[in-house]
Formats: sequence, structure tokens, C-alpha cells
Amino acid sequence: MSSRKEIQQELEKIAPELAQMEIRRPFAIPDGYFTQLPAVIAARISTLGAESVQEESEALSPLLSELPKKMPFSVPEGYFEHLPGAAMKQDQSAGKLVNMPRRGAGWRFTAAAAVLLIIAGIWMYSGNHTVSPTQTVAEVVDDTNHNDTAARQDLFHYVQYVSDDEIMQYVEPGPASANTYSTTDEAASGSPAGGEALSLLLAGITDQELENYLALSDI
Amino acid sequence: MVNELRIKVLHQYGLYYISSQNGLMGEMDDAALLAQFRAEHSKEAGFSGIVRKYQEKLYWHIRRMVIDHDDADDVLQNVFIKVWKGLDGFREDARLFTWLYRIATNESLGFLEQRKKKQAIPLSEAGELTASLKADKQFDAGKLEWKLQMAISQLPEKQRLVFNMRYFDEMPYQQISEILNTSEGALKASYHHAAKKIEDFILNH
Repeated sequence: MSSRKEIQQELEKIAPELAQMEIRRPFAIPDGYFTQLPAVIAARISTLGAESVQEESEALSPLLSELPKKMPFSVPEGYFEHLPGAAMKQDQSAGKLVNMPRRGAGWRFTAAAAVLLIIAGIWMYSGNHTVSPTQTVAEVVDDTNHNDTAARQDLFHYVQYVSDDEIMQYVEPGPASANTYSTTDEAASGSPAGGEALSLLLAGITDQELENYLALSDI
Repeated sequence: MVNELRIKVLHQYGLYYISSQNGLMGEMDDAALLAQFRAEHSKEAGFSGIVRKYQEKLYWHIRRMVIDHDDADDVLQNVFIKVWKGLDGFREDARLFTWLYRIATNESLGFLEQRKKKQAIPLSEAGELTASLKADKQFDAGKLEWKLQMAISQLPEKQRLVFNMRYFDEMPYQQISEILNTSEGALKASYHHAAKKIEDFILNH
């Protein structure tokens, strides 16, 4: 070791103010720390070669290693014998739980349909639309001003909720509607007028668009 | 004054009286401790002698680096575990004291490095050490000894090591040089810079 005097002289040259200061050690240590440390380290070292938990416990604490390892807790009689069966039951009930969302989903669909029906009913009997529930489909269609957006929306809703029978009655071939839907039928029949009309209709349509149409309509 | 008969008895048991400051039992010198360690029947006694002889010096060397007692305790125990594992291979071309200090220094620096990596919010090393100082129950920013520690915590790692070893452990440069594997000239420069910075810090805070 260098002498304190030697270090003090060196410090006086480098930092004279620091050399003048009387400085004590500020850190504290627990009582008896250095007395106990060799034993603590010896205990740690004795565990280094331990191959089993028992050897390690003996090295760390002979008292701990000699304590009985019996658990003080108790379990109901036959608990472990019945455990496999109980576990299987749990598994089965867990299977039923998996089905729950389907039943729940069905119930939700029913509820949704009911709500839609109520909304439709309210709409049908409310005064916010121009279609009377007593009108036939043909009358409603005839009454609809095709340039009036609100009227067209009313018709759209009406067609959605009207019964199948009424719709069937409307689309039955009749003198009024035959002209509207006959163009393609005439063309298909090979009549000259129909062929001309079809040619005019298809004039601006490309071959690709036609192929797409045929593929979609399975003709 | 220790009488010669007592010294003779001590010698019979491999004990060597070293310093009157340490009392009658004295301390075994390093060579005797190593010889005791190497003999199978006295291996543990020899090691225990080494622990007793160097524990305080190494503890304070580590504590000044890591600040917190529990951290210093962990590091010190790890140092002695490494010593136990490596002492068989220790060659006496280096002094035992130097070898122990080198292990303690490396363990302390390794610990600080690990602590830095574990920080959720990375702090500078100075910031971490300052926080550790302030966390000490005894901390009193108005007291000179704590101001000195605050000043040391602001130093770069190498300067901190050199200052501690020279100022507190009163080591000759040649010994610090062996431990840190640095030239004496570089160590003198480090100590010079450290001392000036510490003086400035204390005078300005």
C-alpha cells in the first residue's frame, strides 16, 4: 500500500481543496455482516457439488432437510379415484357448451326476423309512404311516378314485402305487361322484327360482355 | 507486544503474525493460506482464511462501485464462489490480492452492465448511481461524504475505479496497474482528472 501521507501529498498538488476536506465513509452495513459472511459463502460453496435436492438442502440448512415433507392439507376421501371420471364429465359438458353459440345464433335470427316484421308492419301502416295496403301490385306500379325518387323507393319496399301470390298475379302474361317483357322472346323466336330489335339493343355491347352475361345466366 | 512463545505456537499451526494492529491471532500470509487450501484436509479452512482476510477490502471496493449493500453482497458472494472454483488453477506469478481485486472489479462492472440492460427506462450510468445514492436511507445531500460520493458517481467508469482504489484503498499505482491492466502513466492521468472533477463538483454543489 502507498502511505496515506504519500497519497495526501499527491492530492494536495492535484486538488488542494479536496485534500483539505476531512471525509468519512458514508455507507452503512448491517451489524455482524462480516462475521456472518464466511459462513454464508461456505454454505453456498457446499451446495455447488450437490447433485440432489436433498444434498442441496442438507448443505444449506440441516434443519430444513430433516423436516418431514408430509403435507398438512387434506383432500376428500376417494378424491383422486373419482378425479378421472369427474374430468371426463367436465369434458362432455364442455362439448355441450360448444353448441351453445348455434342455439344462440338461431334465437338471434328469430329475434331479428321479428324485429324486421314489426318494422315492416309499422312502415306498411304508417303515413310516410304512398302505397295503400289494399292496392294491387299492378295499381301500385301504375301509380308510381318513375321520375320521383321517393315514389320509386316506396315501390322498392312494397315489392319486397308483398306476398308471393300477389307478385305471381302481377307477372302473369296479360295485355298490359306482354309488351314490356316480349322483346327477348320475339328475338328468340327468330321473327324479323325481334331480330332487328335485338341487333339494336346489342349494338353497343362487346363480345366479352355478352359472354359474361351468358355465363352468368347459364343460357 | 506479542511474545515469541505465542508466535512459535502460531507457526506450528501454519499461522503467521503479520501486524500488531490486527491483534495476537494476526492473519496468515497469502502463501500460507494457499498452502492450506491446497492440502486436501485443510482446503476449507484455507479458503475460509482467504475470505476472512479479504472480505472487507473486497466488499468496500465493490460497494463503492455498485452503491447498494444488497447488490454489493450479491457481487461479493459471487466473487468468492468464483475464487473457490478458480483457486486450484491460480498461479502465483500474480499476487493473490491482485487476482482477487481483478475478479471483484470484473464482477462489479459485469453487474453494472447487467443492471443497465434490465432498466425499463435506460438511464446513464451516472444517473443510475446517483439514484442508488439517493435511495440510501442515510443519504444526506448536505453532508460532505455524500457530496463526495455524488461527485464520484459522475465520473466515467475507469476514472471512478482508479480514484476509489487510490484515494480510499491507498493502493500504489503499480498494483492498480496489475489489476486494471493499464499503464501507470495512464492511471496517474485518470486519477488527476478524477480528483480535479471531484473538487470542482464539491465546490460548485
